[in-house]
Formats: sequence, C-alpha cells, structure tokens
Amino acid sequence: MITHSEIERRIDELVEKMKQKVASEPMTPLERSIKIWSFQEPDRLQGSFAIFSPLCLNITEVTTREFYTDPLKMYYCQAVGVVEWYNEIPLMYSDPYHIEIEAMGGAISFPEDSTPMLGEPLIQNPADLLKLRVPNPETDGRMPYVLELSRIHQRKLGSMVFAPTSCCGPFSLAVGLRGYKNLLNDIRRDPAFVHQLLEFCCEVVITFGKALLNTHKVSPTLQEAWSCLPNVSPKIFYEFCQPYIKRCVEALRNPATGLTGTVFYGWGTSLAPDWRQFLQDVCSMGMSALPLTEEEILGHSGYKAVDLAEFKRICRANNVVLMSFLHTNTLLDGPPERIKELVVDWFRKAGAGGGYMQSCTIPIGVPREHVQAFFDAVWSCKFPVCEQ
Amino acid sequence: MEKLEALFNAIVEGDEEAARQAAQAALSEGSTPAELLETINAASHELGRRYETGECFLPELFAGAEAMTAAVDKVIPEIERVGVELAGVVVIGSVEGDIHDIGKRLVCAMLTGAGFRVHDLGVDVPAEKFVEKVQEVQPEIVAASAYMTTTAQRLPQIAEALVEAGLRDKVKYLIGGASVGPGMVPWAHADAYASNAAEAVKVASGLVKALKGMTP
Repeated sequence: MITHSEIERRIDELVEKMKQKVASEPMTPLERSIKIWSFQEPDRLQGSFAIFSPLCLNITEVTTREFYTDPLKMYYCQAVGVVEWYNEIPLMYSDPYHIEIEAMGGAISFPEDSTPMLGEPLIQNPADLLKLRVPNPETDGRMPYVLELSRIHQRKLGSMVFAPTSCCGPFSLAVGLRGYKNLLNDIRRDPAFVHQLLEFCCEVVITFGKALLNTHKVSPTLQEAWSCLPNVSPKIFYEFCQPYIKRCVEALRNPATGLTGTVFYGWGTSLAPDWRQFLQDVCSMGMSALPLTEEEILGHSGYKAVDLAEFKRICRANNVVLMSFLHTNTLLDGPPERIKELVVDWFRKAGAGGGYMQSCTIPIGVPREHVQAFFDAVWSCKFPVCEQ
Repeated sequence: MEKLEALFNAIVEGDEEAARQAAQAALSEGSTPAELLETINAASHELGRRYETGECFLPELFAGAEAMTAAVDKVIPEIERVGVELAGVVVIGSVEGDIHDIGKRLVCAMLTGAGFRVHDLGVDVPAEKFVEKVQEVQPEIVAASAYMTTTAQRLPQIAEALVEAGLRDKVKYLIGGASVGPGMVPWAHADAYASNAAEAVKVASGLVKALKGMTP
C-alpha cells in the first residue's frame, strides 16, 4: 500500500510540473474559469472531466475504496487528472449523494473496487424523520473528508486551478433518506410529510454547504439528479423541488463574489411540454451554472433534442454558465474524429461570449487517444468563435 | 367488460388499490385470467406509449407499475389453477456490485403485465446466482441491468457463466440500465438491449419468438 508521505511527495511533484506548464500558457486554468464565469471570452474553450474511480485514469496504487475515504489519496488522483490528463476543473468531492446521509447514521459500504453503496433508507416510516439530527460538518461521517479535500487543494493546486466542491441538493437528499419509491408514494398520499422532510433537508444542505463555502471560499455545487425529468414530473418539480433548491442556492451564495454554485445534473429539460419555459424556471432557481448532456443536445437515450444555441441564449439571459457533457459511451466508443466533431460543433453554437464549458465523465477503460481527442478539440476551440 | 375497463383505467391512473379490487371483481364476475392479462398488457402498452410521448413521467409510470403488480398478484393463482400459456419466463437482476433497483423494478412490472413470469433476483447479483436460477426455472430470457459504468463491466461475466454451465444456447440474454447502450451487446456477449421498460417488453417478446424459431 502506498504511504501518505509518498503520496504527498508525488502531489508536490505534480504541483511543480503544473507550475512549469502554466508558465508557458497565456493564462492559468483558474484565470480561464474566472473569465468564463464572468461571461468574458478567454483564450480558448475550457475542458474538464469527472472521475469516479482511480481506474478511470489507470491509477492502480489507490483503491476505489481509498478514493472515497482518504482525502489525500483522492486529491492525488485528481492532481494526476489535472497534470497528466489535462483536466482543467478537478472535483473536490466524491460520492456526493451519500455524504449527508452517512453523517446522519446511514449505512454505507465501501467495496474495494467499486463505488460506495447505500443501505436501507434511514426513514423507514415518517416518524423516523423526528429521530434525525442535522449533522456537524466538522465531525460527522465523511463531511470532514470533504472539508479536508478543500484544504489540501488550497495548499497544492488552488492558485492555478478552480476546483468545485459539492453537497447533495434537498430533493435528492430526501430521496436518499426515504427511498425513491417511498417518496413517490408519500407525494401521492402524504404531501405534508414530504414538505416537512424537505424543510429538514434544506437545513442539512445549508449547514454543510456553509461549512464548505467557509472552507473553500466558493459556493458548493448542489447535486440534484433526482429532481430532473423524467425522475419527477413537472408538477412534482414545481411543488417539491424548485422552491427548496432555490432556497438552498440563495443561502449558499458567496458574499465575496455574489456567485452561487452549480446545480447538477441535467434537468431533462427536453422532456418538458415547453422546454424553453421549463429552462427559464430552472434558471430562476438562481444557480450560476447548469449542465446540458449530449443526450439532450443530440436527442438520444430517451431524450429529445433541444436547440443548443437557444439553450445557451436562455442561460446567458439568466446569467447561468452552460456546461455541455459528452456521453460516456461517446468517450468509450469514439472514434476520435466523432469526439472532435461534437466538441467543435457545440462550441460554434454556444461558445460565443464566454459562459460555456465542455465536460465529460471518464469511464473505466476509455482509450487514451479518445481523451486526447477530447482535449485536442477543446484546445482547438479558440475565441473569437467566428474565426473558427 | 365494465370491470376490465375499470382495471385498465386503474392501472393507467396508477391507483394500486383500485387495480387490485377491479382484478378481483373481474375474476369474481367470470372474466378469465387470459382476459385479465390482456387488459393488463393493454394498460401496460398505454403507459409505455404515454411515457415515450412525454405525456407521463417516471412517477406516473411507477404508480402504474405498482397497480399492475397488484392486479397480477390477483391473477397469478388463477393462471396456476386453470393453466394459461405464459408469454415467457424471465430471470432478471442487477449485476454484482450494483444496488440500483428502480429501472429493473419497472421492467419487472411491465414484463409481468405483458404475461411473462418474472423471477427477480434483486440487486447485487453474482453471475453464478443467475446460473443457479436458470437451472432451476429454465427461462427463455436472462435479463441483467447495470446503472454504473463500473458495474457494467460485470455484464459479460453472466454470459460467460452461462456458457460454462452449458446453458447459453438455451436462453436469450437481454441487457439494459443507465450505463448500457446498444453498442455494448456484442461486448457483453448478449443478444439484445432495451433502453427502457416499455421497450424491454417488445424486445423480450421478440427474443422468445427467436428462441422458439419463430419470426420475431
């Protein structure tokens, strides 16, 4: 097993390498991020990826379990992603749907070679809600792990690279505590209880989110996959998701910058009866950035296609940065020409004026040349867009 | 006829209790199990159609599936008593390491509604458990779902275990789940892929016909 002192030494080596690398570039990844988030045009498009296991980057000395439980080893994997694989926005979080639940006493298992698994829902019946307490971010579960990740980042690559941190959004936390099917039944049969549960979830999110904001100096991303269509209907979204997410986003606004965090994941906007209006309503929750997946740009995997340029215009009008995501199968299957074609095409449609980033998730076993093709394409997308 | 219509409406509206009562009432008034299955199947198709056209979302589909299961629970004892030909037998589970249950449950409910006998092995199912169940119930179809790209790596192991047990040519292998795409069928040594519960029913019906040497 690799020791912490060896990991620390390797991270320092990577930091040095990164310093040399950025010295030869017109701006650091952090400066590029700031430009994009300010709706200005930097030198070129910014590209990033998410990983969910060390194996995504062929790192075999750190186990998947360690990735999710040991902040230094997790940071090492992220630093390898930045320096060796060109990632411009590493993530200072992992397992974002389980951190709060574990801190409240939820059972999570950590297989050596797979992502953490959540046990039975903590709220088996509505009365169980009264037994739950808002966790202490400094002491409970892996909340200290997430805070430590932020501190490590500030010591290491923080001056060169923007790295968001994250907590679970209120509706997705409610799903995790109660279970999806149970929560759907509650929405039908006992909506008052669901509102009570969501009030509690907001308290948990805001408490942990403020600890992250104070430590990291950046508003955390709220993970909200469960509140996206088709997991909920528009009717459920408007009553049980939107008001609570909006409250958390606003409570976690960074007083120093005025910015809020990103809200993840894609909203299934294309599935709404009027996707333009639905996107407006999503943006009205006040987040500073929003993802849009390949499924909805191209209209596959059960989603319809939205007009990317129009999607960007609506986001821009609401001061929301747009992050487009390549599908993991596109990264896996390639070919490199296809990956390049998509990245460049989307940049032409949505890149002008900043406020647009390109991202993906790196699956295990992805051919290295596919990742290279992704970044080759990103680097070829220079501003101004009309000169492409 | 009126009770069968009530059953259809209860399923489409996702009213579990009404579906249970309508199924019981239809049987009591002389409807045959085959007629009930036909009604449940029609309701299942209607739900699938509404989902695919964006008229309903997963919560409605889930409620409909629960109602369908409640109705089928009333019909199964009658099927066993009088003997009705099933659309096929399916052994299904989420692959080892994967605890995601929601999509698979929907597939189970829709297949059941379409007249399949479904043996749900649950979540986190090792390849050898699939093999054991295949030996026990001799299904036409083995269906496996994987939600994450990490767990999708387990899909070929199920086909390999079936080969090792000498069972691969006796069943059709259907894969699905959020991290699975149609391009993964050859890699997983599978026969087919379904992107959602409604499609799983159509694909499964075709696979049964193919296995029996009929034109799908």
